[in-house]
Amino acid sequence: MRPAPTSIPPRIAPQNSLGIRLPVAAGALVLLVALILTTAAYLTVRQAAMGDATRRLTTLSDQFNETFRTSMGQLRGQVKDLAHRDPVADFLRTSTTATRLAAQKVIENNGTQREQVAVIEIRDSTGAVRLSSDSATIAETFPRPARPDSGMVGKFVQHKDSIFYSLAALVPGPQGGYVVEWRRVGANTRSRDQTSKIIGTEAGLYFGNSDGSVWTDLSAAVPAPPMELTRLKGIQTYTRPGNRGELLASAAVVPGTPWIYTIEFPTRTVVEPAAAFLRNMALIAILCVTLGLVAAWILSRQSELPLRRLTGAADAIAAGEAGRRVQLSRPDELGRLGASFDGMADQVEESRQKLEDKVAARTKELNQTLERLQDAQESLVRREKLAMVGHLASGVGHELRNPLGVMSNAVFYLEMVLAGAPDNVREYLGILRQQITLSGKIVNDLLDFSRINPAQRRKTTVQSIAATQLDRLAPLDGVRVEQEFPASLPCVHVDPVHAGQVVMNLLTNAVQAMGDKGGTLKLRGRLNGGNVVLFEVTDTGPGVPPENLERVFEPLFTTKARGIGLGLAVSKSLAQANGGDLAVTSEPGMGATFIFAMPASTEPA
Amino acid sequence: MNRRILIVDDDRAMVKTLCDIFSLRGWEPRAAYSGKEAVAAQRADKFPVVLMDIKMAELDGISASKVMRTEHPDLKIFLMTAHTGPYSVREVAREGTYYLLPKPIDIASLLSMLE
Repeated sequence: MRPAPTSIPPRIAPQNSLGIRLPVAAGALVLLVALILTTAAYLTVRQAAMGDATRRLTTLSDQFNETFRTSMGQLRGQVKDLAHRDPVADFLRTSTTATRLAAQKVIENNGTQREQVAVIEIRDSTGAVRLSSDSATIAETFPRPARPDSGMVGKFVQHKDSIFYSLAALVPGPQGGYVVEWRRVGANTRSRDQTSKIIGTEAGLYFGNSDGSVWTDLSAAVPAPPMELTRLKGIQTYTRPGNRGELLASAAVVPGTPWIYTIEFPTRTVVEPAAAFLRNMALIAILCVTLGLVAAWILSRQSELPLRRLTGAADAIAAGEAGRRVQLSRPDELGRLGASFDGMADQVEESRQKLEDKVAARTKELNQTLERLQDAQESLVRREKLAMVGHLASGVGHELRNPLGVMSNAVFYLEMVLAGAPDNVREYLGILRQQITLSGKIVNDLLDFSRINPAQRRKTTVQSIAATQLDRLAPLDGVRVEQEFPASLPCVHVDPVHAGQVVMNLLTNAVQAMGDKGGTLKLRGRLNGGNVVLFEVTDTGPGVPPENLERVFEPLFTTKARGIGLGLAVSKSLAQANGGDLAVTSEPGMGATFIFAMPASTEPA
Repeated sequence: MNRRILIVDDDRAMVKTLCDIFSLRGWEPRAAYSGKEAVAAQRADKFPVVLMDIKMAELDGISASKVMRTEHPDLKIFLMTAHTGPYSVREVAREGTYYLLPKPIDIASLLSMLE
């Protein structure tokens, strides 16, 4: 028995498959974590770098302040010294050739030879140039110190292609006057190197007037930084036109001067470690995500494969392959699920088997019952048919007896009156008598078959029944009779008249079957199963064709040219009425054996 | 020796053949064709033997034989019947009839018995 095929669910769409969704979810999670971690780390590192840069700028500013204080102090000292030389005051008091030469000598000896000093001027108290180391002056304006104790630093001034600044000192004495020293701004290679060492190559150092007018990078004029010059505390960020990226800057006033200086770093250089960190982190994150994806894929695959096997097994069982099992040997939940599934499948299979066995058993019972019913029905039909036929036979038989009797009388009369008649007349009378006798027998048979009286069963032996009927049948020309009745054969419990009728019928049939050629008639008695005696009549006739074996006991079935087909039907009914039965076995050409079963007597022998 | 016999049957052919056979054997048969007729004949002529069919339209053989037996206790009655079943035999035996002949009757045996 095959279960009904169930509809198998369609294949899972890829977007719904756990095998895809799990790795994707895991990958997304890993990516998210990596993004958050990287961002947080980057921001932290960047902040640290910025803090570091700020501290560095502050430190640098401090250092520069100190340096500037010292160096500018020296420069102011130099100018003051020059202003305090006597020839300078003498020249200003009285301008003669001698004083001029003396002052000129002082200027030349003490000033113009010095590096960076472009022009040294001696000016009177009104500020007019009285003596100069050069024919042209840099600028008219110069810082005018009120007291002669120190020099004063002036603003940057752009002149021609250079930036200059002035240092001025008051000449002592009632005549007043000033010494003004113009210096060219320009760092030599050594000082540039030093500066680079201090602030780094990426950094820029700029100087300018505190009013923002002139700015320089110590070699040339530069645009002013876009910063608020009124608020110099702390770190400022800005961008310069033409300069890529943001700049980080710290500005301060150069002590003792009208100058401001700024130190600039490109933010890029400051946050470069953070950016490098970010790149590394990104690489690591990509690696992590990839690894996570692969791991998730492997994991989900490992989980999915048993699931697929489960699904496959369930589908196979549903499709009728009852013996299919999952057989997962895994120590985890999936293994347990597989074992449960297999157990369930075993139980289902067992139940199905039991059910099938039960159905088979019931079917067998049913078939047996059906067979019995059919037998009973056949028996009933046969009896019914017999009763009907019997009714007819009885009427016809009785009615035929009278004319037969009359004919018999007539023949008897003729035989008497024609005792001396010719042989042929007497022969014909004999034929008449024979046929009347035969007709009488047929009528007797008809009447016998038409009425089965209630069996009056008693104890008797098959031997005696057989002997009685053989006597009635004698003489049997050309027929050899063999009898085989064991001495141990029990008595039977039947109506002797009925049993005799059955046996007579079997013997008559057997003899008729063998025909004129004759043959061997074998009678045999044997015990079957302890309580049934079988009386077998075997002939050496042509046998019963297989297709007729079932039908020979049907009423009105006959293969004889003569006969109305009641003998075996009546015999079977008689046998059954006596608690026995009648059956036949035959192989064509090998004769037939009729088996008359009779109940053995339970009375003591 | 009184060899008179009353033969009763409503089948005339049967009666005729039997009468002829008995005549031929030196008997004086007398035919009757119903039970009623048989009873009348018996009253009139007192036959010593009656051969009578049981199944007849006008007074059947058993009823007729009952009447005859009461009137002639010594009477030998042979009843012929087409029914050979035990029922008929028992019924006839109860009526005290001694001879029952199944049809078709074995005329030779009957003759030898009577003679």
